[in-house]
Order: sequence, then structure tokens, then C-alpha cells
Amino acid sequence: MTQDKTQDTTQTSASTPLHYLTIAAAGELLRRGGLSPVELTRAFLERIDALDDKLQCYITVLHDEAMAEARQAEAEILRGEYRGPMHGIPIALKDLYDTAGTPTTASSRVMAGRIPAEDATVTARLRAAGAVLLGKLAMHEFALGGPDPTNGFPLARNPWNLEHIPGGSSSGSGAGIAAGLCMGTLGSCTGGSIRGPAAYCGIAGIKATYGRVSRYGVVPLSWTLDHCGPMTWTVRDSAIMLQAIAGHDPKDPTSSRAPVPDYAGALSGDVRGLRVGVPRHFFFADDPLIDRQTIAAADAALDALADMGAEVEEVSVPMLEHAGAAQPVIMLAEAFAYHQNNLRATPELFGEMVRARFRTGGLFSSADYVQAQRVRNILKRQFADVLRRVDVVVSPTMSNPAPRFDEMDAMTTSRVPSFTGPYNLTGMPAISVPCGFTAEGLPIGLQIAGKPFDEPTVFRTADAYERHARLYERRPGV
Amino acid sequence: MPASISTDDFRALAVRAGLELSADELERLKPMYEHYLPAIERMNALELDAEDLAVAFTAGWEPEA
Repeated sequence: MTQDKTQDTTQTSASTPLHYLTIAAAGELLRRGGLSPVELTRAFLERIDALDDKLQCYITVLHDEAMAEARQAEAEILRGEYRGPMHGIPIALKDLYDTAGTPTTASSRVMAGRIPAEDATVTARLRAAGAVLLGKLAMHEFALGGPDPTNGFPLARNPWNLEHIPGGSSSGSGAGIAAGLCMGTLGSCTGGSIRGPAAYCGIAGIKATYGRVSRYGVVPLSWTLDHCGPMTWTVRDSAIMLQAIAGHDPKDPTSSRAPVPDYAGALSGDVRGLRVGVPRHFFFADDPLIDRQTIAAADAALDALADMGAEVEEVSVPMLEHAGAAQPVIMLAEAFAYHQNNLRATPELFGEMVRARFRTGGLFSSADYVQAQRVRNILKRQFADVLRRVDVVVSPTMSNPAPRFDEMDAMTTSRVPSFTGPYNLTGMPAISVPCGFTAEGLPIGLQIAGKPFDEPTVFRTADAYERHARLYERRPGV
Repeated sequence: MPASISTDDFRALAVRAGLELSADELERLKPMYEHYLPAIERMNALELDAEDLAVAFTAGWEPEA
């Protein structure tokens, strides 16, 4: 199959409504003066006002502040002070990123009314890049709790089918991008909270390498597993957004000093010669808990990558079989350590789902935690061995499509295999890009993971596939 | 480690964690804990090498790794 390298995802037509422009396309219009940040921001605020009662994506909408920031961006661009591709772009943030002067709740009554005095580092970097902050997005409580009606915060709906969850914990982020309620957002990810909602909502979302993006000013869930990253409509937009936030932060002790490459510049559309590893024994197992439509869509995507010139081979990562034990033990034990005083003093402030899961973290033994970290080190080593032979590892993002709200309890997503958690254990960069739809019209995601700090190859692979599949042309009917 | 735990043993775990749970709360939490037990049992049964340390885990990767 011949690759069409000329057709990239920035292409738009005159009939594309403002709320469905990509960051790349809008950024080019803004730079050339063909679009006003004020006009663009107003369009998003009007759409939020019209649709968010139904979709429940936002916890806080910053009408006045966003318009003021848009006017400032417009004035700067008119003066020739264009800052770059995020300048004048309307974004929103998951409500665990600190925003100075604006409530940051982590969707929990425990933090209700909390107003940070300082921006998170990534918030500050997006402001410095000229982005316009539309508001703060719904999420599962403390990035874990699930769509819990007992916690008193909005429960975002999946724009592709309102009866289904948008995934979590970055629920409002996934739904908001898919519905055209913001152009870009940051999710956070401890076991799949960026890639999961990206897959369920049919968008792109990348968890960058551990240490690549500062976590200073981000409410933690699990210090050794937490990652940050963009969620956008296209891969190119995620590359643009990651460029704005990546890089060393002396305020975050886990922040890497590795140089930041040009992410968008890596999007050649060419995967010829790319070596793709597939651990079929885990991600494509003959397991009744893994959805067959999902497997078929991922297999078709692998066939497409091969047709485009990639070299696809099966690889083995034996310790993946124990990732499903190691990840929750580490996550819940660390979460319990962070929340234990509040769990003892004011348990009634937690929603039922997150309270139960945090409490479970206090019941694991120290030996469980230590063994989980040992398993994690071996998993990291086994992936390092595989990544000497291949450039990326590809799989479905999720083992199943988005469940219905009425199927959800605190453990629903824990009863099926996690395909995202292994890369939180290893810290490798991993992206989800749409690769199909179920017969019911729910999106399916393809996960592409790469070598540490090799986000450029992950982006290049995902972008090339995205150009081929062209699923970004299909929008939910909200 | 068995895939289930007695109510008394489970209560002891909760007390050790500093959680003051009612009988009803214990009853509702126990299945969640038991959900993880089989996988943790298999993980703990792994015979790992003495060199497979955990206490010095470094989450970050060096750029050249």
C-alpha cells in the first residue's frame, strides 16, 4: 500500500467548524491572522454552555478569564509577538493540575474549596506558550475513584454514546476533546488514565516517559507511577502540546534532564523499516476477558503498518503476566500512604468507590509492595531487552470497549486485563490512537509504546497510522 | 496466600492499617481485597534472584538506556 505522506492531519476545509479545528490548523490560522483568538475562544465557551449540561465535562468554566486571555493573545499576535503554536489555543486542564487563584479539587470533597496560590509547572508552561484556559475538567476522584455518583462531582459522559463512560480517570478530558469542548488538555496517568479515555473517546493521548513532564503542582496518586501528558484530537496536536510542557523542572525531583527533541518535526508519515514488536502472548491472548472486536481492530492496524513498510514481529515479555498484580499493589499502597490521615479522620469526605480502593491499599503487606517493585524492575529489564531489537511495541490500548454506566462499580475495570498499566510500571512512553469502532459505534484504541525518551518514534508511528486510517474525520454526534 | 480471608483476619488487617471499620464496612471491603489475592499470591510465589532488588528502584530512565 502506498503511503500518502502529503495528506497530514492539519488539513481542514472551509466548512470545518471552529470547535473541530485541530490545534495545528488553528495555530496556523492564528499565526497568519486568519483567525482571532477571541473568536475562537468565544466559540468554545458557547459550545460548552450549550452542551456541557449533557456531557458534564467541566467542573469549572472560566468565562471571563478565558476571554481576557484571548484578548491578550490577540493583542500580542497583532503586535507581532507570536509565541508559537499554542498561542491563542483554547485548552482545559484536568482538575488536579494546580491553577493559581482557581479551585483545584481533584474531584473530591476532601479538596473542595482548595484554591492554589501557585500554578503547576505545566500550567505555567502552557500559559507561557500563550494557551487560553477555558476551565477545569471532570475526573474520577483523586484520579482513581471511577464514575462515582456518591462523590458529588460531575460525571462526564462519553460523547459517542452517553450511556457509556468516557473512561478514567481523565474522564472530562477524553469527553471534552471528542465533543469539541476544548482543543487540548492534559490528563494524568497512573495505570492508564490518559490512554484509557483516549481509546474510549476516539482521540489521541500520550503518557510521556517518566520524568519527561514535571509533576510539580499535580495532585499525586502514586509517586512512582504517576505520569502527565496531552490529550488531543490528533497525534500532531499531542506532539505540539507535549513540546510546550516537556523538559526539566528543578521543582520535581523525578524530572529528567534529558534534552527535549522536536516532536512535530518527527512526523514524517514514513514507517518504512520501522521495527514493530507485538507481545501476542499477553495483549492478544485467547482470553474470554479480552474483547474480540478490539483484537480484530488492533490486528488490522498491525496489517496496515506492515503494508506501510514496517517490519512486524512477535516478541516475548514474560513478566507481563504479573504486571496486573504489581501495578495495583504499588498504586494503592502509595495512594494509601498519601491519603491515610484523611481516610482515618474524615472518611465521609471520600466517595464510596475511592474510599474502598484507598483502604485496600492499606491492607497489602510490605512484602507485597517490595515483591511488586522487584517484578517491576524485571519487567523494565525485559522491555529494555525487547527494545534493543524493535523500535516500538504495539497492542490494543484497552482490553474492552467502554462499559456502560450501569455496569460500573469500584472494581469493574479491575476485572479485565489492564493493557496500559505495564507501561506505568516501566515508565516507557505510550500513546493511544484510534484504530476502529465496535459494531455498537464505540471507539477502539491502538497503543504504541517506545524506548524511554523516544517520544519522536512513538509519535511518528502513531501519526503515520492516523494518516492512513483517517479516523479523525469521524466525529461523535453530540 | 488463600483467595479468601476470614472475617477475623481481615479485621486484624484493617486494624493494623489504622482503619476503624464497622462490620458492614468490613463486609463490603473484603471482596475487593480478595479480588487481588490470587494474583498477589502468584506474584509472591515467584522465585526471583537475590540481585533482583526493589528497595533502590529508580523510576527514571537514563537517556542512553
